[in-house]
This record gives sequence, structure tokens and C-alpha cells, in this order.
Amino acid sequence: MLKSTTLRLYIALHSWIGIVCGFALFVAFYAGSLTVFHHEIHAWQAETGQAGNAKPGDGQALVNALLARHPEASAMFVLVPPGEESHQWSIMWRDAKREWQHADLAGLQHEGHAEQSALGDLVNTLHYSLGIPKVGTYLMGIVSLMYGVALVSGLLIHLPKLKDDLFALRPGRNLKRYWQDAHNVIGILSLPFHLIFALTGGLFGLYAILAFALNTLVYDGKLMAEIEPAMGALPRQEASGKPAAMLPVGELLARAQAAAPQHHVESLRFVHYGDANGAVEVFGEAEKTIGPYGTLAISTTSGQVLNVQVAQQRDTNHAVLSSLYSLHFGLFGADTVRWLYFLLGIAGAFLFYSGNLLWIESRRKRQAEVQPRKLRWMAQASVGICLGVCLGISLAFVAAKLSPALGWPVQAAEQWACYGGWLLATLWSFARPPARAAVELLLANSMAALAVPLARIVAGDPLWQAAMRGDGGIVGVDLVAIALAIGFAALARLTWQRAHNGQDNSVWSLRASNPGVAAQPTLPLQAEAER
Amino acid sequence: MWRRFWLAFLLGFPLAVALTGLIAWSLPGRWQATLVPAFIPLLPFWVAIIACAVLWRSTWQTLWRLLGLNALAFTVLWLLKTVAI
Repeated sequence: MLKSTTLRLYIALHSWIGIVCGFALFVAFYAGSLTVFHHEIHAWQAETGQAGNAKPGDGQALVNALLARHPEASAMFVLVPPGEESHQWSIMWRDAKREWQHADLAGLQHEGHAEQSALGDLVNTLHYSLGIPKVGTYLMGIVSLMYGVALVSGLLIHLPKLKDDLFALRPGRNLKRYWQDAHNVIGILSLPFHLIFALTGGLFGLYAILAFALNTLVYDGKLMAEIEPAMGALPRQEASGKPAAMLPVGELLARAQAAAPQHHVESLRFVHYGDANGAVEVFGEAEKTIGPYGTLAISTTSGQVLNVQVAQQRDTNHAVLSSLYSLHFGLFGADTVRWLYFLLGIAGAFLFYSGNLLWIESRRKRQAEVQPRKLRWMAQASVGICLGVCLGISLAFVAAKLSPALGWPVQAAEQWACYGGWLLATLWSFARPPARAAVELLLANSMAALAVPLARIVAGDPLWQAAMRGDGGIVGVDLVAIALAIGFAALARLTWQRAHNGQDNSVWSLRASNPGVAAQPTLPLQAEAER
Repeated sequence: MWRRFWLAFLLGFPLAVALTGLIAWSLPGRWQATLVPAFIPLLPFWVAIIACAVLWRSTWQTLWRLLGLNALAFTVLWLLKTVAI
């Protein structure tokens, strides 16, 4: 049993870390729950009407087209074969600003062809860096560490009554208790997964800092030379400067298949293309393993297999790395596990949102008509930032489908829709009473989510056509959007009811925030029940 | 509490690195063969140090304890590396 001072200290630590990091964690969890289905989002975002048009020589043609237009890309580029995400080959390379560029064969062969959508990448960027360039990843690494502290303190707070908390969900007049129960139940049930997310998220976000510290303090400066081969398959080799003939893409794929038959190729990372030291790293997944991600390296000049790090043929470093990725992204099982991760992500987002609501409710002045300004700000920030990011993501989906028809650059349109929508929602929430802003933004979210499948109809590839083609991923994205639209509408209704029929003297009451209407005094029994 | 928290955040990091180093150098085989697993304990150590340090009585006590533990951990790590190499 913890001492009462220890308990109070951990409650304060848990609450304040939750408040400070809760917003970032909400964004990471909501975007992360969608990123679980990144293959499906890539399929959804792909240009409409491209089904079945990939030809066997397209991969090599795409490489040739890239190097004809961007010869500097020969240092490193990534070729993605047709698969779950797209029915045709695509290619990625870094431009002079080191930003990733995407293209398909039509985009590189025809000047003025519309650029490819980067919707999946946008959602993923929100997940791991909140969309903040350069420092965002480190920030999320620190947030993950703090999240770990909040988890440990939360666990210690609830440990003595873990069993009671797990089975206590008491709906009724006391809304605070109900929210607290829901927060506890979700927190305890999903605790193992939250521990996984905190650990792996922290490792991925702070990797560079951790590697630097271990290199300096533990490995005497020898780590950096060894870490790349420990995590990849390519040998460390600079370009020789001697031009050489490259094996065709089809031949390289055949050699990869022969070296690792269980390895389903997902992408090929070429380095030093056209050089005698050229090589390709073939990334892919295997089935029925806890760490499906694997990679192997092949010389692009001789076709010699240089290194194999795939399931059942890899060393400790690669096995552990693959397992970490797998645990973070839910890759170790079939679709059931991915749906579980999706639900955990949404539940996690709820956990942080409910934490903010509890913080506000705990500090509510039950006898005061006007609530302290900090509570109002907290409520507005919770509504604006949390509902704003949901709105921004939905708008980015809509922009991905509508911008080509409108002649807008698709990637810029997606970014403007996402960040612009998010910012406007946040500003809107600070310009309105919290309850009104919550209802309005929930309704806006519902409409924006509903607009996602509608945008596909406008783009000429409606849900039912995708269903008839058997594109389950595309259908799934549209159905999730419809489910979210219904969910947001239901929440808007509940919030409206709370604002008009719930207790006064709260930031969530519209009656209290209306200066023309005097608040009803709280009855003693009611006050007791609230406690 | 917050002074102890920030002290643990700052001084807890090198301590966590040193403790991770102790594990890394204790693992069997060549050190290059277990580089990735060696990263894993660092964050749990850091979290545990923060969670413990906030319970200590005063800022000074936290400071001296963390400095002492850092010195001890790095000394043991140095000895371990000397033996291992």
C-alpha cells in the first residue's frame, strides 16, 4: 500500500504530465490508429482508374525515366512494385532540399502530369512528429518518455485497487465518476499496449540522441560505424566513380525471390545506381512470424546476394529491430490485430481527451457561475486541438480526391487542408464558449468524415465500384469514414444535450456561459452526488 | 516535486545510459552482435529513475544521490569494459 503522500505525488505527476503531453499524444494516437492501415490509405489515395495497368517492364522504365529527368537521384531512390497500395509501380527520391518526392511512370514521362498524393505520408508524419519539421520527431520522443512516466505513476496509483477499477463503470448522474471509471478501465485494459507504444515510440523518436549518448559514453565512439549494418542489410560502401551496367529490375527481383522465397517484396532501395558499387536493398514481409519485416541486399552489377536478414535467416540485431517495428505497428498478426491496434489507437486518443476533461472537472467551482479562466482555456484547447486534428485529417482525405479535378497541386492541397483546417478549428474554439465550439466542431467533423466517401464519388470511383473490383482496402477506408461521421454526430448530440440540460456552473454548460440567463443554484444532494 | 523531476530528467539520462551500458557489456558474444537489444533498457531505466527520484525528500538529496549513482555506474562500466576488452 502506498503512503498517502506518495499517492498524492504520483497523482499530481500523472495529471500534469497528462495535461502537458496529452495533446501531442492525442494527435499521435488518432493519426497512429489510421496509420495502422497505411497500405489501405495508399490504395485509397492512388489515382482513380489506374487498376490493372502495370506492365512487366514498368519498373525498369520508371527507373530509366527518373534518372533521365533527375540524374542526381542515382545516389539513392526507392522503387515500389505494384501491391496492396497501388496497381502500378511508383518511385520515391529525395530532392535538393532532401524532401521526399513521389512519382509514377505517367508522372515522369509526361510533363504537367498531376503529381501523386502523399496522404498516407501526411498522416504518418502527424503520427510521429505532429507535422513539425526536424524537431518534431525528438519532441515526440520526449513525449513518449513522459508518457512512460505517466503510465508508471498511473499504474502505481491504481495498483492497490486494480481489480476494482477494472470492473467499475458506473453510469449515472455523477458524470465525473463515470468519466473517471471510463478513463481507468481503458487505461488498465490497454496498459500492456501502452507500455509497448511508450517504449517503441520513445526509441524511434529519440534514436539519434540515444545512439549519440551510447556511442560516446558506452561504446567509445565505435557505435556509429557498426549501427548501420546492424539495422540494414547494405554493406557500407561509397560510390567507386566507375560506371557499370546495371542488372534489370526483373532480374534483381528474381534473385531476391530465389534467396528468400518466403519474403514478399514491398520496396527496393537502390544506392549508387550506375556505379560499380551499386546495390539494392530489398525490403519486404514474411508471414507467420512476430517480426515480419526483413531485408536483403544484392549487388546491382553482379547480382550477387550480399546479405540476407529475413525471417528465420537473420541475426539478433535484425530480429529485435523487426520485432520492435512489428509491436509498434501491429504487424505480427493478421487483420484482426490491425483492427485491434486501430481500436487501441482510438481508445488511447479517448484516454488523453478524457484525462483533460477530468482535469477540468476536478477543478470546477460548483458554486460559482463563472468558472476560472484556466478551465475555460483548457476546455477550448482540448476541443480545438483534439477535434481540430480530426477535422484536418478528414479534410486532407477530401482534398486528395478533389484537388486533381480542380487542377490544384495535390500534395500542397492536402497539407493546406490538414494544417489549415486544424488551425482554423483551434482558433474557432478559442473564439466561442467551449460547449458551443465542441458541438460545432463535432458537427464539422461529422460532415468532413462523411465528405471522404463523397469525394471518391465526385472523383469518379465510388465505394460500390471499389467493392465490385474487390478493393477491400478502399472500401474499408470509406466505411471507417462513415462510421466516424456517425460517431462524431452522436458525440455532437450528447454534447448539445449536456450543454442545454446538464448542470450549470460548468464550462460545458451553455446556460452558464449565457450572461442573460442566471445559473440555477446547485442543490446540496446534487452536489453530493457529483462528488 | 518539479525540481526533483527535472533533476531526474537531466541526470537520470546519463545514469540510464550507464546502466544500459552495464547490460550491453554483460551480454554474451561480440558487442556488435547485440547493438539493437542494447538500446531497449535505456528508456525504462530513465523512466524508473524519474519515478523514484520524485519521491526523494529534497532537491539536494536528489542531486547528490543522482551524482553519486552516476559516478558509481560509470566506474563499474569502466571496470566492466576494461575486463571485457
